[in-house]
Amino acid sequence: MKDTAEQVIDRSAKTVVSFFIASAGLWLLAAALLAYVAAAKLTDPFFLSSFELLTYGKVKVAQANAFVYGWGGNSIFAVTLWILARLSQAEIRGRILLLFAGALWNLGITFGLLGILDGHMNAHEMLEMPTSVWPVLFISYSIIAFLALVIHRSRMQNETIAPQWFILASLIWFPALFLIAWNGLEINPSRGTLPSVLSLWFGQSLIWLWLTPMALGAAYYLIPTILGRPIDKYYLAIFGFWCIAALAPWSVVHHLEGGPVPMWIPAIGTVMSIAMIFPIAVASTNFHATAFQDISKVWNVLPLRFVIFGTISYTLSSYIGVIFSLPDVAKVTQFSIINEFHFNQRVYGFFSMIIFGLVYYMLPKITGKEIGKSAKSFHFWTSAFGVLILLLAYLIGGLTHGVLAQQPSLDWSSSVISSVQPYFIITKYAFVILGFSQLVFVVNVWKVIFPNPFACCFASDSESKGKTA
Amino acid sequence: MNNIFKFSFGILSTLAFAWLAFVVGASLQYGDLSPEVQSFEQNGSGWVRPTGDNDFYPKDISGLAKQGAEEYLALGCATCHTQQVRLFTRKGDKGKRVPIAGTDIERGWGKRASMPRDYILQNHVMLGNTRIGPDLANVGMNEYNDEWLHQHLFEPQSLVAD
Repeated sequence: MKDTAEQVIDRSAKTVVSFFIASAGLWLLAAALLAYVAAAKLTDPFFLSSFELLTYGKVKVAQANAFVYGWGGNSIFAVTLWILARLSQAEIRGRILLLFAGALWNLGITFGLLGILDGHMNAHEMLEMPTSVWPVLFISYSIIAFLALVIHRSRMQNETIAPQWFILASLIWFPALFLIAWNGLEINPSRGTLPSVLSLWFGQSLIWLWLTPMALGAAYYLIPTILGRPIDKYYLAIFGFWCIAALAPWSVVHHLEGGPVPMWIPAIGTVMSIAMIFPIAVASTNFHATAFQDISKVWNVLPLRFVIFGTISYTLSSYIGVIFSLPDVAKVTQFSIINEFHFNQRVYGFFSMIIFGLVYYMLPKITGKEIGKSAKSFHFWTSAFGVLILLLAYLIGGLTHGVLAQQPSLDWSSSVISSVQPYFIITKYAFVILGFSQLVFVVNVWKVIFPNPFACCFASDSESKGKTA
Repeated sequence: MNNIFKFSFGILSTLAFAWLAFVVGASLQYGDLSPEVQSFEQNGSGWVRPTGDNDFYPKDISGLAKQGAEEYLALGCATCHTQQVRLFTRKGDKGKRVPIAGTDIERGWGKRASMPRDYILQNHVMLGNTRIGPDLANVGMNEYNDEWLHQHLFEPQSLVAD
């Protein structure tokens, strides 16, 4: 009886979730390509240098936006809808509207990225896409978030559990962050360095309050579901959740250490960053104490292997992040490529790895087709290896960069930057490995979602007719 | 936790506190900075502001420089360049922190640390967060000739040893 109920939910999710996963995959490939172009330009200034469209600064910014909003946004929608539907034991409703809003979201990002490459960039962190696309993105996000909340409101059980808190919080925090930033930067713009504080706060909070809780929620859902055992020390989860909610919005501003802003801003950021040890420890305890009770199953079930890779990466790199927020360390490393380490560990090593695991778990359930074992295994090993190389290169390169930059006697380009050059070359090859890895992932996902490419074209035709009607 | 409205109120109020500090509080503290005279004149009644407007800081930049700032934004120069000379301090007597010349100043990127007032007339403030290139906050301090700058922007490899 229970099985059929779940099958009904999965069937209701099929079109919508497939759509979001398929588009997330395409954005992942676009971001991988842009990442390679940017990395290649850092090692060889003549690479594609005759196209102003592909200037390093533009490509780099476009890559971050494609990754966070394209891949991150679409996969967040898929994860939110499916997990909320499963946990609420309710079907996904308003599917045509969801597809319409999803198409709008993707269209908005496409125009936004083209706008960046065409030179209409905004000066605000993670809000670089041109001003005109943001209302579209906001409306489409609101439609999707509203319909996700409708699923949650029609749940069978009143009691909510950890994955629901994290996923709902992430769903609600993004539009709130956006409205705060949009009001302070575009509607009532302030002068001087005030917008810089706000845009840095938005850009960093986006990672901490949108991507992070979503991935944590997915981990809180997947680990006990696959292992078939409850989360160890579950009573700590609520403490961890409210710690993130209360501390994360304050902790992100430590990046302004020594900058032209009032001193209390970076100081409060540092204090709160150190306090972030608590929620990191809670999540880490919950995940790993549960997972390590049955380590052989974690190793053998591939989705779980992805998720645990993600949670370990979250734990380690968050602690590393705490160390780098201490003022004396920050003075050395704050403007080095250690920033790339922080960004990539969060979006690749943590968020993406957990989403990969979830997709591998979810896709067979909603489509009834399994992805080949060797393809999945190839994807895991190349991703894990690529991410590890990438992060190590950025970490060691960042330390080198930071320490040498503090020696005023060393010439900037011939000593400091040329010492970091080898690490740029390593990251270029890491991005090649990751690109292939993601290509395998996306091809396999598309093969499962659209088993017959010709049927796919007709299906998408009738879908688009449905949308316009 | 079970009521979505109470739950939303809780998680949004944590954001609202941060907003009160970083947006409302910070703008109350230094949102109304305006150009200020740099020197005072002495007359019969003591030190007063000079009457002329020749001595105000910061001054608005020229139209050509504004055009340059737009290009700087559009090309994403802020990805690799910062525009802030950081304030370095050390513990002085009685545990109070006193400013010192940090490595940014020793590198010749400015004569003093950047202050919030330096930025109030800029349309787009791009503090930046990565220094793959040098800091450009006071790049106008250096005396470049036009030809060198032009060549440096178009083919830097020909000028800077790699």
